[in-house]
Order: sequence, then structure tokens, then C-alpha cells
Amino acid sequence: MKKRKLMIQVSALLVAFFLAGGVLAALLVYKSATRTYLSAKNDMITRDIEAVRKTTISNSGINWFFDFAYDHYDEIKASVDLENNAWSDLIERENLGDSIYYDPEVVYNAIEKSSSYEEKVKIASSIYSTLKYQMDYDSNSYGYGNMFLISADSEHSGFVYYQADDYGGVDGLTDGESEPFYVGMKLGDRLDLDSDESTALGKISLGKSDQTEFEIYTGQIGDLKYQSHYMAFCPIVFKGRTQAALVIDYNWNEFRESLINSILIMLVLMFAGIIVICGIIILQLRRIAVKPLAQLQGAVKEYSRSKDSARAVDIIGRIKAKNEIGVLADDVSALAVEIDSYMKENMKLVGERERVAAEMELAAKLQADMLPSVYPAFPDRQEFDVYATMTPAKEVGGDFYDFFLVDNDHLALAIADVSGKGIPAALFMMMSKILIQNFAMMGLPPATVLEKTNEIICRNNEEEMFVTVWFGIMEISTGRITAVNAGHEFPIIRTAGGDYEILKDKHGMAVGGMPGLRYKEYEIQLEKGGALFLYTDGLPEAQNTDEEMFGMNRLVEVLNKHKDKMPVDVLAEVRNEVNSYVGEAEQFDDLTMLEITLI
Amino acid sequence: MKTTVQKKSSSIIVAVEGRIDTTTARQLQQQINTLAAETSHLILDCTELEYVSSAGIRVLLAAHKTMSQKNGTFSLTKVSSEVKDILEITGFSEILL
Repeated sequence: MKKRKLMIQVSALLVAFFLAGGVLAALLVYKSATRTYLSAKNDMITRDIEAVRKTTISNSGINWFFDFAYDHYDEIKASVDLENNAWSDLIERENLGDSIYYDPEVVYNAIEKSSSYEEKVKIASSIYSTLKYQMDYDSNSYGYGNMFLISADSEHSGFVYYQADDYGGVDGLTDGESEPFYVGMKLGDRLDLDSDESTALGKISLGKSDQTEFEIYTGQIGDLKYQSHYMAFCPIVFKGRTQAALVIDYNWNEFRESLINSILIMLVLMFAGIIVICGIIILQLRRIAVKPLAQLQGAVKEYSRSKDSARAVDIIGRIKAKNEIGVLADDVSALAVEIDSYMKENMKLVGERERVAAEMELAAKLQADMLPSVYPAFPDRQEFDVYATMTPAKEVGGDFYDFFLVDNDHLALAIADVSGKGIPAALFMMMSKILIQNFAMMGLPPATVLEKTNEIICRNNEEEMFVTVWFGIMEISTGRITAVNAGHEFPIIRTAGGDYEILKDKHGMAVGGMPGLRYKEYEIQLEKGGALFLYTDGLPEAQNTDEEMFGMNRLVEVLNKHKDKMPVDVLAEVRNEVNSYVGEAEQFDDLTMLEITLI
Repeated sequence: MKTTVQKKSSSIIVAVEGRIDTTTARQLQQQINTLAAETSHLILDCTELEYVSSAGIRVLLAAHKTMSQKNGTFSLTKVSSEVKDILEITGFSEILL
């Protein structure tokens, strides 16, 4: 659908553009064609009227005739003497010879000077009949609308010398038998024509122009059949005086019709051309833009459906456009391949992540299994009860607790916190736990156990890892605990029937801090009915959503609230309290607790 | 965590603001490693330091070791009682303070 829209948009734009251009071009064509047509017509008319003028003035004595006819036109028309010798008498008397054919001035003076009135009328009659024949012939021969000769003298304005009769062609005239279609005005008739300065006739009369002048005139002229005239005026000058004007007159309406017809043909041709160009452009557009776009669109649709990049590349490869669309097609093709390889990569990553997650899960289980987690831990020992939990912040943690019998009367207790979290801490924790247990099982005193552990850890500790450890060995029979605190939290101890209290014991540096550390042991007495609570910093430093810590005071308070309960319940209560305190906040640190009580 | 470094002719003072914990320890370590190469007396101004986690202590310990190896010094000044407690509990106050 989209592609058709583009086609329509572009086509509408094209058509509108070409229509506007067409109209503008039509106007220009009309103007220039009118000018061209008129100037060509005018050239032709000028040439023809000039030829007619030459014929007219070759009529010897015509200049004299123009002046003479004003006062004697009736006599001239009335004189019908076929045996007219006036010319030959005059030529002989004045000895004019051949000059009669080329010197109008000599002829003019000769007629005026030596002819009697009767002779003058006869000569004028003879000139008039030549004029009539010449004009009839020329008019019918050239085929102009009207042809007439009028006076250009302002004193005799509108005086007609002759208007050609219309026989519908020179054949009609020379046949001799046919009647004229239109009989023109004769010598002495009057014609009402404006001859002021602004008109063509005026310009000629006043001597302002000695060339053929053109004019479009609307209105009845004499008894001409039409009202719109296209007229050409050609002056006839004699001795610097414009005597007469030879006029060719067209029916302007007919004239304009033929003009408009010729322009219409031009316009039709032009619009046909525009339509063809429009069509070609639209077809080209379809070929170079719309079709490749549609193909590309199809390929994208196909790809988003099937996710088959090879197919998309194949379809796109068939797009032949060598323009921006072609580039776009290549880009889309590359994109499809890119998406494909990205998807594959992503699948691999997801698989990898799943594998890592599975391994982490296994590692977490392994780590949890390392810590004693079966309770009661010592089912055959009734003298004491011990319970511990470890909740890592991540899958695996850096905290650990431990308790094991060194011998029948000695129970080792440990709680530790490795610096950092996650896998590195877990690895370090495993090592620490095993070292401590191994040294303890050798029957060494607690301080020595940690010192030896420290030595081994410091041997290859490039990462500056350390672990805080509280480690103690209890003589079960007496409840006397020999303990070492290597940078760990203070233990919390409760006497029988008393409250839990923080024991600010002696501190050494965390295990792994530096080589050659020496630890000091101290002794505490665990009473029957009393308890020892050990923990890591994840407990007092657990944060709520306002980033406030759980704190030691709250911890001791909670412990005292539940001081009569057994370790498993005490730890559960502390856990609940911490959970409700933390709320929605994320657990940042591992959280580990251990309690032992003597029964 | 935010740090402000002040370089003097004989020493460099790094003022630490906020918390040094798992999320910020690495950033501080990198900064200290860079600065340790430039001076032989590196001082950590702890006026605005709120909390140091075990990961943070590890960074301080590493800094102390690095400076000691090049016969320089690394020390903490103006340590708040909260931070001092943490250092004392872990036993590192002896070498860091």
C-alpha cells in the first residue's frame, strides 16, 4: 500500500508541476506565437502592399490624377471615350518620349501646363480606368480582404479614389463574364476614418511615417462587410507630400481565428509532449525507486517473518537499483547478516551463561556441603548443642563456620569472613577452612593453628586477600574455651540465667594480613545453661532501604528477647528480625551465625 | 564514594568521602596504584569516610604493602571512631594507623 502512496504522491506532484509549467508555457507560447505570426504576416503584407504600390505608381500621371480628382470626380467617371487620344497628343506636343514612364514630375507638369480642361478629363479618365484594372487584378490576385486607395490629404480626409471589386480570385476577374461578389467604392465616395495622430492613417497623413503602418480597428468603415479590421496603410509620396494611402484590410476576427488555430495546434503538441514526459518519468520512477523499494519492503517483511537471512540476502540481491535505494538494500542485507550473527552470538552467550549458572549452582551446593549442616550435629553428645547457618549474598560466599570434635573432650569452633565476595572469596574460604581444620586436627593450640594457616596463606597471597577468624577449642567437660580472635567481630556470650553481653576480647590481625603474625590466646568460661553466639559482620551491618545498619545494640536486644530458646530457634529469631529490618533492600554481605550452648 | 586528590611536593593526600565497599574498592585501588607510582608518601584523609568493608580493608592493606616495598609510607589520618573500630576489630589498626 505504501508504495502506491509514494507513486500517487510523486505523480500528483509531477502532474501539478507540469500543469503549472504547461499553463505558463502556453501563455509564453501564445505571446510569442502571436508576435511571430503577426510579424510574419506583417512582413508578407508589407512586401505585397509595396508591390501593389509600385504597380500603382507605374500608372503614368497617377500623382497628377490624385490632385485633379478631388474637384472633378463626377466628370472623370462620366467620361467614356474609348477613342481617347489625349495621351498620344500630349506626348507628341510636349515631346515627352520615354520620360513618361519614369519621371512623374515631368509628366505632372506637362499635363498641368499644356492640356485643356477636356483633355485633362480625358487623361484622368484614362488613368482611372488603368487604376481600376490594376487594383481589381492585384486584389483578386493576392487574395486580401479589401484593397483600396484613399486620400492622405488632411483637407480631403475620407476621399476614396478606388476600392477593388471582389471576384473571389483572379480567375473570376479575367473570365470577364462573372459578376463580382462585392462591388467596392468608386472614385469620389467618402470613407469615415479617424486620421488623428494616434492612428496609422494619421501618422502617414502628417508625414510622420513613410513606411507601411498597421492597425487593429473596431467599428464600421464605409460599407465594408465586417466590424473588426486588421489594416495596413502604405503611403504614396510625391515631391515630399503624402498624397494617398494604399490600404489592405482584413476581417480581424477571421485573421485571429487562424492565429488561434495555429497556437492551439502548438499547445496540443506541447501538452501531448508533457504527458509523454510525465509518463516516462513516472515509469522510470517506478523502475528505479518504487519497485526496488517494494522488493526491499517484501524482503524485510519476509525476513522478520522467517528470520532467514540467506533468503533475505537472496531477495535483496535481485534488487538492481544503482542509487540510494540500492545502497539501502545493501545495508539492509548486511544488517540481516549482522543480526543473524548477533543472534548466534547471543545464543552462545545465553548457553554460556546457563552453563556458568549451572556450575555456580553446583559450586554453591559444594560449598554448603563443606559446612556441617546435618542437625543434630552430634546426636550422641547430650552435653552441648550447636547450630549454625550461612547465607551468601551471591551464589557462593566468603563466610564460613565450622565445628568438629578434635578428640572426645575437645570441640573446635570457627567462624570466619574472607575479604570480598563471590567466587574469589569462596575459593579463599575453602582453603582457609581446610587449613584450619587440618592444623586443629593435629592437636595444635588455637593460636598455633592460625599462625600456621597465616604462614601458608601469606606464601602466595599476591591479591592481598585475608580472612578474619574467631577460632576456639572448648573442653567439653569443663566448658573452658581457649580462643583466638584474628580480626574478627567480638563474640557475644551469656552466663547461665544471665543476659547476652559483648565480649571485647583481645584482637590480632586478620589471617593473611602479613607474614609472621603471632596470635595471643585467651580463655573464657562457658557455663552450663550459658551460650556463646558468633557471627560475621554481615549481621550487624545488614542494611535497610534507608541504608541504616542493623547494629550491635539491636542484635544483643534480639538475642536477650529469646535467651531461653535453643540455638536453632535463637538463630531463626535473629534471622527473622534481620529480614524484617532489611525489608526490600538488597543483601550486600554474606550473613553467618553460630551458637553453642552447654546443657 | 568520592575522592579528592591533592598533590604536594613530598606527598599526595587522597581525601575519601563515603563508603569503601565491594562496589567502590576497585576504583579506589586503581586510583591508589596510579598515585603510588608518583610519590613515596601517600596519605588517606578519612575525615569524610563513613565505612570500610573487608574489601576496602584489602585495598588499604595492598596500598600499605606497595608503599612499604618502595620504602615509602602509607597512612590514614583523621579516622572516625566507626572506621577505627572496624580497623581494630580486624586487627589492621596496628599497621594502618
